[in-house]
Amino acid sequence: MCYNAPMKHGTVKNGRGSGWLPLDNAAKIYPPAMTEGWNALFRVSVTLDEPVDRQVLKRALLKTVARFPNFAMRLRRGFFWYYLDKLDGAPDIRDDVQNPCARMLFRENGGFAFRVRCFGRRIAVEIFHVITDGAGGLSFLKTLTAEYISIKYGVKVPREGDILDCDEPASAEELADGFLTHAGPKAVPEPPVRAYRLYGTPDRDFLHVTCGILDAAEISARAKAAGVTVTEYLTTVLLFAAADWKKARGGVLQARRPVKVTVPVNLRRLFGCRTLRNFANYANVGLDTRLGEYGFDEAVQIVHHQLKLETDPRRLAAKVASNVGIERNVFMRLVPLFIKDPIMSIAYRIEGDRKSTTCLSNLGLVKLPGEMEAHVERFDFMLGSLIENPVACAAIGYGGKLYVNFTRTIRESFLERAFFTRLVKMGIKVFIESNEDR
Amino acid sequence: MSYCVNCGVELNESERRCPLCGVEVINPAKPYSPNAERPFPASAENVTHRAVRVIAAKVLSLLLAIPFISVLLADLVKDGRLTWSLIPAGCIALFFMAAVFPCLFRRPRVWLFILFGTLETAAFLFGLYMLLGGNWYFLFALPVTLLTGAFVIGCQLMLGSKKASLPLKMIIVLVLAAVFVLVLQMLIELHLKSRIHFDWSLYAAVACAMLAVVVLIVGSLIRKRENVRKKLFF
Ligand SMILES: [Zn+2]
Repeated sequence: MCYNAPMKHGTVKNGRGSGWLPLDNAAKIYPPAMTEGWNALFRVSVTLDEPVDRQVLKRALLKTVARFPNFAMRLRRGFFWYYLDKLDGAPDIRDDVQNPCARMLFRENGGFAFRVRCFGRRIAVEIFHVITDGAGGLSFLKTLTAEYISIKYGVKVPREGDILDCDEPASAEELADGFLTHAGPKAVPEPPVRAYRLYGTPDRDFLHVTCGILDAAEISARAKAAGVTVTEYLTTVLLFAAADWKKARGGVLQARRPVKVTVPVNLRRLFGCRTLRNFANYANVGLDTRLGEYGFDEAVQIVHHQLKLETDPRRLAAKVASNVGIERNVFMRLVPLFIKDPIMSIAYRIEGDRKSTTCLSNLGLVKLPGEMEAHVERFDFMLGSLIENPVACAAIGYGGKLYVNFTRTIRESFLERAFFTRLVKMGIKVFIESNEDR
Repeated sequence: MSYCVNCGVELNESERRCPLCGVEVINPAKPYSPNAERPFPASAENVTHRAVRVIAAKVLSLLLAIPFISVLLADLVKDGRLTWSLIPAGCIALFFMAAVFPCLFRRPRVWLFILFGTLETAAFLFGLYMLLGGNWYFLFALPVTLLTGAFVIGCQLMLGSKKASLPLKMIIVLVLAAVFVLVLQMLIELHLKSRIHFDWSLYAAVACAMLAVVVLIVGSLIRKRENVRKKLFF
């Protein structure tokens, strides 16, 4: 039985325990785009107050995976599309490594499209984007942690918000493809403006991670003083860092391109949807440095208003409608996968993430119930390497700290240096750690 | 706690160098200790690339093995020995060598592939010569093959050169083409009529030479771009 019949938008049947899922609209591009050495991954991790007990973690994982049916899935090829097929159990818990988000081989992983890694006090979950997006991944990790803490310490953790109750079955709404149900009446694609691209010495097989730890209260006070959100504030700093890169490293052919930052937008809150699968869209904000220099206070306002415009629900619904329109197109549907696959792969490589210079994904402040808070020290969020953009930035806040993880597949650490030193010059304390070789 | 003197950020104890700028952390009050707790383990996941070219070489070998074996078998089963099948089998082997050899290189070295292809063609023609007889190989087929190979390699090296300017490249390729057609006709005439005579090749060579002169003039004009701009001002 299929969880949501692709033909009937919105009519979703619940079939916990058996079944399959068509890929959601955002996930469709990732399987054709993946190669032997790369697939689109992201990682959320939690650091506890004690070393992780792997036996307990395994038990917690089995319960959590049963609650999140979209995680208990194997990616398979159909005749027209890829699909997710039911898989029993849970992947084995693996040791953490120095280079997170290295390409995932499903056959090494029991067929699962996510993996759980352990290092000392930290539990990390690396997720292939076909399963879910950052918010869905965080919900999974929080539920897994809640399950772990309640087994390990015998406490009852209240399940609220995105910490789910593992004794309840998954609802139909949680497995629905939100894009299909929430597409707007009119499809408006995003104008294809090419953004300035960062070039560096490629180092594709090793993801360099630089984590900057900031004081959350300090940053939010600054943002509040400017009348903007933390995401908007950080985006402005990142735009300035990218503009610094452009000024310093140039690129004759790229002189006319604006620097732009992609900011993923979680559509769940905007559209009141509780899906556990991908449900995000993107806003591209930029500074056109060809027009002249911007002061920080001006730029922060420009970014604020741009994001406001871009995240207008009607506008996002129109963008979603345009993406859904491509997928529901008769030609797209009737062309067999073996033809569609290479075409989509090439299209993604050409179009991919050219509209932005880099990206900043902020999962926001994590709030936990007191029972969990006592055992949880830290959260981290990072993005695996993107196809074109060599540097990505991801942020998450917890316990009064803001963790900003830069991940890159080039040697040059220029962008994060520009980002963090700008914060330092603005009087904000930055604490740095990394996975560099010593 | 240590700060990077260059960036002003506070660094984790496990950092020997600043991850942002690479400057070494020197703090006499708190020297770097390799035993400090690190945020990531020391062992990295090894990402091996099963390169596309190796897969391509394998698939190609499999695809070509089928007709290769079947023609040889068909011939062998029919009259117990190999006769006609050697020619198609040789063709397949030639194609296999030309296609698979480049797959074994990480970086394409085009001149090497052409050289290899030329030698393969010469060997293949030699096989045909042994099979069919005649006196066409050493005086005609071999020189023409080598000449063509040399011409293509020459053009490729010239066009790929980074030092030469575009007009210079074009001139040299045109001169090479002129020499090529002249020598080609010479070889054909020698083989067929045992004489040296130029007619069609001369026209082609003259055309090449004229084109080369045009390129020379346009090239020198472009070098004096300011002059052109002055003349063509509108
Ligand atoms: Zn530094």
